[in-house]
Amino acid sequence: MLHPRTTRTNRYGLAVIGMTLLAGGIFALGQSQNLWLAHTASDPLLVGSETRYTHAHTWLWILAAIVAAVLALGCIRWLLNQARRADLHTLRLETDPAHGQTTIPAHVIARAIETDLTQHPGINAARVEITGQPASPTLRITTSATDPQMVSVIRRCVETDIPANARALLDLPDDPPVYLTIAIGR
Amino acid sequence: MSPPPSPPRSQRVVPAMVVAAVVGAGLVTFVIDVVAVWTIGHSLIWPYRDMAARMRHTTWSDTPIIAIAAAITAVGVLLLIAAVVPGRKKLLDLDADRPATAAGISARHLRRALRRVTIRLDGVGDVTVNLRRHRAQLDVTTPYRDPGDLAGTVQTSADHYLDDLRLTRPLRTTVRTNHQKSA
Repeated sequence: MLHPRTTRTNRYGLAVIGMTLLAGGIFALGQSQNLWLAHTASDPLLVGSETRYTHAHTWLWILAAIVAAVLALGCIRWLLNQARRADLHTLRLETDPAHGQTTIPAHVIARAIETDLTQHPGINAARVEITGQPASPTLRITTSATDPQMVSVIRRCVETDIPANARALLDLPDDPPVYLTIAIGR
Repeated sequence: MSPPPSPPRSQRVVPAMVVAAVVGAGLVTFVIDVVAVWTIGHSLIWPYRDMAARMRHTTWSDTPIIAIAAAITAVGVLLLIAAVVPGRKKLLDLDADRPATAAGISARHLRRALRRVTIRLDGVGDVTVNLRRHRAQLDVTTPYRDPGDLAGTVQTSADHYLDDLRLTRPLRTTVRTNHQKSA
């Protein structure tokens, strides 16, 4: 699952670029239909005074290059963020700082739950992602079964045993929320 | 008690990656050209002089310019729609017993499950499952010349399976039987 911040960035990024293109497109279409007062449809796209101005002011190109470089870095970061997962790295086992701090890598707990799941009859494979906040994690479980008739057994196991085990393992006050995705293997 | 986790939805990864790559590449080439003009006196990637000369002889009312403007507007609208409309749900929701639990199955896996449940029945040679919004359509091929109430048996089996699965939006099943032609 994608990191929530990346999901938000995708929405805002697409909206900003979409609005920019929409504004540019509407401006050009309006220009071609004589809707704006500044130019007429028979004017060239680039007039001599504009070319002379940009030639005379080198700083304009440098400024544009700096802005473009910053935006390009933003685009590269946006692209790299698509690989960022929502999985937690560590889980906090001790919530009271007066008693010190005990942390455990989240993947260790995830692998332990996966092993627990695959020992149940009917489950061929399982994948567990731990997302949310370190103090109140959410389990996102995908189980794969070859026999579709075992789905109800798997659901009972995931909905009752696994949250109770995870609660005991992580010393949580309540059972953690669970999202189960059922897959039917080939 | 915590609320159940939200079901996975499409997170616009593909449009975001395409837009970030295209815009990023355009900006990087622009920066390279500005630096090249500054240092070696001419651009390396885009022929700015030719482009400027062409733009001086092209008017806003020229057909290619109107077509490009319309295309840019259309892409802008599509990106805005992709940003504003909530992502498509990837799974069909299932009812859960515990309040903090949610579950789902993809349409592909539900089709596979229904196919596997049906193909075990006596008289079923092959089966194709199509899922619509409110309906599961099972096309059964049978080697029997007289399939009897095979359609009814298949429907009962599929309905029983779907009831057991507890889809939040139940599907109505319809079954069609066809005679399997011998080779």
